[in-house]
Amino acid sequence: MVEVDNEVLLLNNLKIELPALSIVETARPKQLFNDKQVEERLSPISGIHEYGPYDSTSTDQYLKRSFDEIELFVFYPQGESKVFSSLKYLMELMEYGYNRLTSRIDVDFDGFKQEFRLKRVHVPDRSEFISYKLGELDRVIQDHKELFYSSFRGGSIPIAIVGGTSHRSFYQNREQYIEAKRVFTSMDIPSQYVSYYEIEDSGFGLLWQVQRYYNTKSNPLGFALWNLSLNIYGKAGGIPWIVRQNISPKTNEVIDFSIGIRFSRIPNQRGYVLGHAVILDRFGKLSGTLTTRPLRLMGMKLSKYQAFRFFQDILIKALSDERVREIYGKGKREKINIAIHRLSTFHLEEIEGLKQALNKIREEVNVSEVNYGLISIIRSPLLALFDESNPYKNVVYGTALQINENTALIYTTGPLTQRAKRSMSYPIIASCVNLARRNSPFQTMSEVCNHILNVAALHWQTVIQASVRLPATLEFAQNIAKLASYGIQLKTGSWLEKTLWFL
Amino acid sequence: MKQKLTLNIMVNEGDSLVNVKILALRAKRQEIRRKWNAKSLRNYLVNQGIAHAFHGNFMWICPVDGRAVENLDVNNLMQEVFGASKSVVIRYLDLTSDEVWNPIGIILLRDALRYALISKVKSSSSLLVTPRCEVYEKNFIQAWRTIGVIAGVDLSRIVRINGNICVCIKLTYECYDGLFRRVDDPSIRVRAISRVTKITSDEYLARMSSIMQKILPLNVFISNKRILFNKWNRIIEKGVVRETLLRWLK
Repeated sequence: MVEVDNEVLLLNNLKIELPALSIVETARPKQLFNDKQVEERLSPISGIHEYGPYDSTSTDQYLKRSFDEIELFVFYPQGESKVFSSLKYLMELMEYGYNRLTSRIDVDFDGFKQEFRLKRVHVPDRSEFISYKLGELDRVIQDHKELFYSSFRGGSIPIAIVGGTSHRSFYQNREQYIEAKRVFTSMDIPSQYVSYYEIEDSGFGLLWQVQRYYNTKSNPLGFALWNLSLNIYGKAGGIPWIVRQNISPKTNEVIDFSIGIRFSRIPNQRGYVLGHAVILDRFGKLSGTLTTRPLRLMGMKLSKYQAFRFFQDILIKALSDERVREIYGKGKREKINIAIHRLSTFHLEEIEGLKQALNKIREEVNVSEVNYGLISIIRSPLLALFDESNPYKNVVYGTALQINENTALIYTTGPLTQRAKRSMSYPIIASCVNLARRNSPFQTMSEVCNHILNVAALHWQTVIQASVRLPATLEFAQNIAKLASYGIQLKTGSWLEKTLWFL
Repeated sequence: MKQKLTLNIMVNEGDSLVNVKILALRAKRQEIRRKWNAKSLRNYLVNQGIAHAFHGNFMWICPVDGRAVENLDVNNLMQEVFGASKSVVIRYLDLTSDEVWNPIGIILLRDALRYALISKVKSSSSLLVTPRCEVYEKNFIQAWRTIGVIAGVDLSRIVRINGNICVCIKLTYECYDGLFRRVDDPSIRVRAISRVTKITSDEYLARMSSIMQKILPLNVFISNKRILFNKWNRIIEKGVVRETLLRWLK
């Protein structure tokens, strides 16, 4: 069970101050696909199509792509002929591309290899698809593990595409998804689950959509194929785009690390939870993830010592990143800015533990100043704005409303322009616990809102802009926490740690 | 340029919640008779027009039906709830103060709001109130062969605003069958509800408005105080759109 956290407590404690109610100045995050990109605003699809993913052209030795080849391996459950045939069609689309059916809600896709500027993508032929009996995937993988290893040895990244009849919206057949994730993660192989979920008169999942597309030629697939490719690319360790984590457009100050923290209960072990952290660097690149040893918690509240250990481990992990070492190696920089996000509130003991960890780290890395911003997030829909001057009354993405001295509503999702018709979205509520205090990197609410928008723009799981509500730190940590609640975790030191294996 | 934004809150326009007269019974939650559990006790007391909260060795109670505290039949209540007499004192509390708000204030206010909503819709056959302070309109906004979805407003989120209180209103949905029984199967519910929730803000407002106009004005009594809700959206008067935002809106 993933932590619901004490969000209710934070909600109950929220105070609105009428004199503070005002629109906060924000700047829309700039997603960079290339260092020479001239356009201010590019959607992920046009950015990748025009420039390729960011790491394919980057000259920075730490950001540039470390692979040029991907090898796909396709798995399907025995006896599921519809899954098999949909997978066959899907692989054809991934290899040869797709022409949009309509101009409005569809988009072209030139094939995975072309769009993502890869030298080689091996898409298996239907005869190479591997079938497995449900519950026996482990054995099948053992029989084929040499295939994966030879792929690694040949310089490719192997990715397992697993078809099945489970879908995230339904509990039925959930064990299929869990089995696939558990088996491949334990073998350090990134996997992508694609579902075929059929109901009486309709269906869900990409494979179902593909089948329908081939049967009726009426189901637009462009966005779904882009999303799948983006997920596969992220799981191989690619960086499709970056967002520079500037605190404000007016200064050169950056947030060096953003850290998101979530908790999950350990199944069948009452009272014990795991803490999960996701670390993003100053470009929004994933620096790593960290899961604690089992913690005995009362009410999802870390003790001072637990917080000290947890934050110390996170900071050590963040600072041990190759690129980070280059920049912050002993005495090279004088200041580090860190933003820490969590749902619900930061308890006093946790803050004390964090301070202790920061002091220890400060001595070790020899920097004179470590600034930290503590940001509590409320994701439950509570307050919403309506724009009377908008024909649909929708509030534009990026709008922020300050509701008290250190809290604001922020629209991390929503229409990009005022006239765009899009379904209503709720803002998140962000509260900077130590706004404008000593050692806080954030001095104004505008800086806090910009930071949240910057981190939320790193939604590498979808090409649809402004569609993920939570900052990437918390969104990713939530995925890791969900998998951990099913007992799925990375091995220590796994290479997957710097990939989006959890998507 | 000024941008006119509205916020989905209804602010109390009645009495302030300072010096609210509350009865404190020296009793713990564990002392209640075995026939009650937390839910059934709350249902019973709200139906009697009484709000309650347990905190710090006391049961805090007050009438929410407009009666004065003195008119409560406390002895009868104690027998019914505890099967024994308890010592009683009268306290005057500031329900929105930091110490009182979480353990007592918000709980009593939710009970009071729930009672007020039940009383308000008693005469209306088209509305339905749930224990979680949700008010649904009994018309399917979309129906299929055997099931349909109804829309309602969730009024359970009470937030402090400048020493006063406001309720944050949210649209909510439920899935019912043809005989107006709640559909429990989550896969059917999720499917049905997800088909009606992808709407623009103006459609959202229209749905909310049709229910809110049947609820407002709403008088909520809590002991010696009367809370009044008249409007459900607040205009952000200070909403000056800065240059960067203007650029986005073009």
